[in-house]
Parts: sequence; structure tokens; C-alpha cells
Amino acid sequence: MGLFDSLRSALGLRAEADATRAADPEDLFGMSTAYLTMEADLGFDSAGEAALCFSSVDSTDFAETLNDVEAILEAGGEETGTVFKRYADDHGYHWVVLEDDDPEDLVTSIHFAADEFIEQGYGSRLLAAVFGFRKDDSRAYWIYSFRRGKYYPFAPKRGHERDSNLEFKLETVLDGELGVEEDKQFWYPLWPDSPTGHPWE
Amino acid sequence: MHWSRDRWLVATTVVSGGAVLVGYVGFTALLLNLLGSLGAFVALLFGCLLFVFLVAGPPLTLRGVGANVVTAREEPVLVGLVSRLAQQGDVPTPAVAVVDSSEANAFTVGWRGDATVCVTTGLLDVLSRDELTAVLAHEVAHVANYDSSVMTVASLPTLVGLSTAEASVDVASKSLQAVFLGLFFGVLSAVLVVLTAPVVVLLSRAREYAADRGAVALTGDAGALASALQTLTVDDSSPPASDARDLGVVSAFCVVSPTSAPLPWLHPSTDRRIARLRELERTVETT
Repeated sequence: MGLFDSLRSALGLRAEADATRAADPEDLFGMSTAYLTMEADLGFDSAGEAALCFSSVDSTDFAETLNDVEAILEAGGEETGTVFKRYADDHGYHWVVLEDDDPEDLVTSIHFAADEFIEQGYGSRLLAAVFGFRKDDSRAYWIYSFRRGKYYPFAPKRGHERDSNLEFKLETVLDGELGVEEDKQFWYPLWPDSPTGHPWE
Repeated sequence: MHWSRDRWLVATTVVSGGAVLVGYVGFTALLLNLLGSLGAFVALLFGCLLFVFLVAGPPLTLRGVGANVVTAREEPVLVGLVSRLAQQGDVPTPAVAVVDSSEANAFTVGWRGDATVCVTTGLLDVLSRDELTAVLAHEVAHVANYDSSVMTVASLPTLVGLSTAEASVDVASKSLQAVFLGLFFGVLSAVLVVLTAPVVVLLSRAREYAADRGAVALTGDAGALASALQTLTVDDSSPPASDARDLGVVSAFCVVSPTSAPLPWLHPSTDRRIARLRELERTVETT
């Protein structure tokens, strides 16, 4: 954290500025090749689902933006076969959940949806894009944080525990291929509502 | 989201924050000029006191109000909400603690990166989920803005002035000779309080408004925060007469002024805060 950031905090200007800062989707596409590495090097297959998590705004303009996002996904789905659904979790956050066996289509659709939010001026409402992986009984996720423009791994176990060994392995293998968040203070968990479900279930 | 800065508020936080800095520098220069090496010693002593307040203050405060830190397993919704708000605001996730008190309130202590957001059981009882999210967002905004530390630094001279004024009265009542000594220190303390208190009040109120705006920037829902403030203020009117662990010691950090606050004017009135939130709602909705 730079001196300038500290000064903004000390002057009481930072909370508002950071919360309204535009999203950073630059490195989102890194996930396309990461799917291949996850499978080849770690044996993790795509879970066939990815999701975009965002917080709503209590305004009519935002409701219209959501309609636009859905229209774009519907149009894209006709071409790629990607199916989507909406979900609201126990924390009051909203999800656009995409299903497709082809990971490439998942990444593209997430990117389209995120772009629409950003273009309509709601980039700051995007919390994360979450890409699911599975291997036997274990689950793992790569989470893209739109606030920081970085990826971080998340491997939940039962009882709100994290599999830090697995997260370490994912970080080590994918670092360089994905822009991985170095500061683990920013590896925010996205706990699922049910113990064995995805964060969007 | 349509968003524009409140320039008047930015100017107020910057000017009052600057006044605190100028006050500290001016006070140190005055001590060195008037008292030489003794002045340097006093300044050093004050610096140590400030350091102790900043480092030992948060854990002592948490213990003082009986705050229990909770995990995601114990309080999945509460901890999950704070974590998501922190992610949205790009701050490291603060610890979350619950205080067993029927007085509905919330406060934050500690430095960004090592902060703890505390809520009372009373707060969890009276607020809906949207209102709770709004209050937690207000606290996360405090974390992002270093408010707990900044207010500790800003208010210490006033607190020292108030304690020495009280001590001077005690000393003066002991004997006739001590009257002059008591009077001398009493006047000095009064001058310190009169000079510093207005700045502390101005800064504290400005930072409450800034945290309200930060909260709306995080949640996108000005109405929920307005409704939470309303609920907490109404709830305030019928407080328990004697809560074993009242919130007076953390009053400067609370989302609304607690009933036992020694300086109740550190918070802007709920009506004014709601009026500003209404303006903000209009901006988000219409521009």
C-alpha cells in the first residue's frame, strides 16, 4: 500500500473512492489457458459451471442493466449453448450462474456479462467471477477479484475450513499463467450456503 | 452507479484533519520553545501515551466491553457479510466480534489490516438483513478510512485536558496552598479543551458522514442505512437502565451515539444523516 493510499485513508477519503472505483477485468481471460493447466498438471476438471457475483443497486437503472446482461447471455447462449440462471444467496448478493461443458465458452460468457456491467457504469458492483473445478471428491475454485484485477484460489472444506495445502498447490502451479493475488489478506472466502454446494448454490 | 463526491464534506475532513496535524506540530514547537529540554521530555511522554493508546487501546477496549470474536462457522451470515463488504471495498477482512448487550449498536476498533468490527446482540435482534448489511458497510468504511486510529490521535489532547481539569479540581480542594497550583493547571487544561474539542467534534461528525457515504457506495442502498439509523435511534429511547458493560468507552466509534456517551455531540443528529442519505439516494437514482 502506497503512501498516497495511506494519506487518503487518514483524510477519510478512501472508503468512498475505493468502493466506487471501476472494475478491472483486464486479466480475466487468463482463465482460458488455466483450465488446460488445471487438467494437465493437477488433474482438476472443469465443474462445467462458472458464475459472476455482484451486489445489487436499489435503482431502476440497475434493473435495466440486469435485463441487458440477461439479453446478451441469451443471445450468446443461442450460439454457444451456454445456459444461465440467476441466484440470490443468503448474504443478499446476486449471481449469474453459467453452465457449459466447454470452459472457453464459460470464460467468454463471463467476460461478456462483466463487460456489460462495466459499460453501463456498474463495474464497481462486480464482486468476483468464480470458476469451478473438481477432482474426485474435492472442489476448488479460481476467484477473479474485480476490485484488484487478480485471481486467487479457494478450496473450501466442510465446516467453513479452507484446504490451504490445495490452495498453495494451485497458487504455485498457476502463478505466472494467471495474475495471482500475492497478499493473502485479500483471498476472501466465498462460502457456499450449503456445506457441499458451490458458492452460488 | 451514478456517483459524485460531496466536495463540502471532503473539504471539512481535510481541513479538520489538517487542523489536528497543525495542532500537534504547533504544540510540540511551543513546548520546545518555552521549556527547552523539559518541553522535549513532555512531548516525548505525550508521544508514548499516544503510542500506548493506539497499540494497547483496541485489545483493551474489546476486553472492556466483553467482545467475543466469532468465526465463519459460528456466525456464517454475519462473518460472510463483513467479508464480502471488505472485498467490495478492497480492505483486508476485519475480525468480527459480538458484544452481549441489549443496546443496539456497532463499532470498529484497530488499524486497517488488524481491525475488529463489533456488533451487539441487541443490534442483531432489531435489524433486518439489509439494515444489518448497511451498518456493517458503515463499519467497513470506517476500517478503510483508519477512523479508529485517526479519532484516537485527534481526541487524545481533549481527553488529557478533561482528565487534568478533573485532577486540578481534586488538587485544589486539598489545601489552601494547592489552590494556586490547581487553578494554574485547571486554566491550562480548560484552554486545551476549548481549543481542541471543536476540531474533534467537527472531524468526528465529518467522518461519520464519510462512513455513511462509504457504506452507500458499498451497498448501493441508501434507504437501508437510513432505515437502520432510524431503528437504532428509536431503540435508543428505551435503553436498559444499567447494562453491565455499557458502550460509553467506545462512544466515538459507534454507528449511533450510545446512551452512556460522555460526549454525545461527536455524532451528527440522525435526522441530518438521513437527510443526507436521501440526497444521496436521489443522486444514485436520477443523475
